[in-house]
Amino acid sequence: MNAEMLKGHLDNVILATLEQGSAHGYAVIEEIRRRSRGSFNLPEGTVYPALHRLELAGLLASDWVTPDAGRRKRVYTLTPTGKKALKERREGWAEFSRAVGVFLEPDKPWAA
Amino acid sequence: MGRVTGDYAGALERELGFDRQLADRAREDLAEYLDEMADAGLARDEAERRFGDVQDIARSYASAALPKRLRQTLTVAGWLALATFLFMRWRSMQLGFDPFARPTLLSLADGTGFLIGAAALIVAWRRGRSQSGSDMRAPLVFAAIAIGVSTTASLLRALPALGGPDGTLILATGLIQLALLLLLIGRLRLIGRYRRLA
Repeated sequence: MNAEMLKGHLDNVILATLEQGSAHGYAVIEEIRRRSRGSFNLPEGTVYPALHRLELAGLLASDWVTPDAGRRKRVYTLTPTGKKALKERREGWAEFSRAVGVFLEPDKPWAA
Repeated sequence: MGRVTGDYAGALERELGFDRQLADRAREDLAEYLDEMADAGLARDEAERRFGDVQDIARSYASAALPKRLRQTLTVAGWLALATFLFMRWRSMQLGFDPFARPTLLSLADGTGFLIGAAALIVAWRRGRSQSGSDMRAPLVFAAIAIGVSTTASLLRALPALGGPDGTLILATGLIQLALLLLLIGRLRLIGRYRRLA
């Protein structure tokens, strides 16, 4: 998938990924790779500034966590505002994809 | 967390060097990523390639931080406007300026400069609410210039009273206004760096 195309939706993809539970930056990258089956061809470092942007917007919170045996990691969690934003974005996306689908998938009927 | 050294990390830090906090954040994120990739047995060069182009990544960090920096700048501008208004009124009352007297160049610059600056601040605030915030810089620069003119005129009007009983307070209020103005100018210069990169 085109990286530019994905960039506009990266924030939503990250929010949805963190809906499953808290995770550190690299775990988010891995989860996106796993769930998309590698179809998102985006430089992996792009995820970190997106996490930072979502944190500054109050949609994510982060904490340093040190596992018993391991390195200190910054772990991100969806905030209540983030959960609300994800719900709204999901509804917006469903409506948008339905509308565009009418044009790109001509056999699909309009479902208002 | 491993310490990140090398050309890639250095280049990323240089790109974001205008904001120490942001550069540190990028360095920490890169360190985490490289540590994870090293654990997975990936070569450093390959890991850096997968992380992405240095300039693209730096641009993404700058874009991420810009809205918050703009909001902070708007807050500083708001405090400056409030201080300018209160101190201007206080000086006018203390020094007995007659509001109905024939206006002079300084009194006009003082009052009109403040009104224009306040209007520009409202424009910046409205733009910040309705858009991503990136268009706030121009009205903020305009507000800084207008309030700067107002502050200078106000202080010049009060200059003759510096030797009087209120001299210390006049000097103190003037210094507070100048400090806030300098802080705002510094913030606006920083925003300019963000925008050039983003």
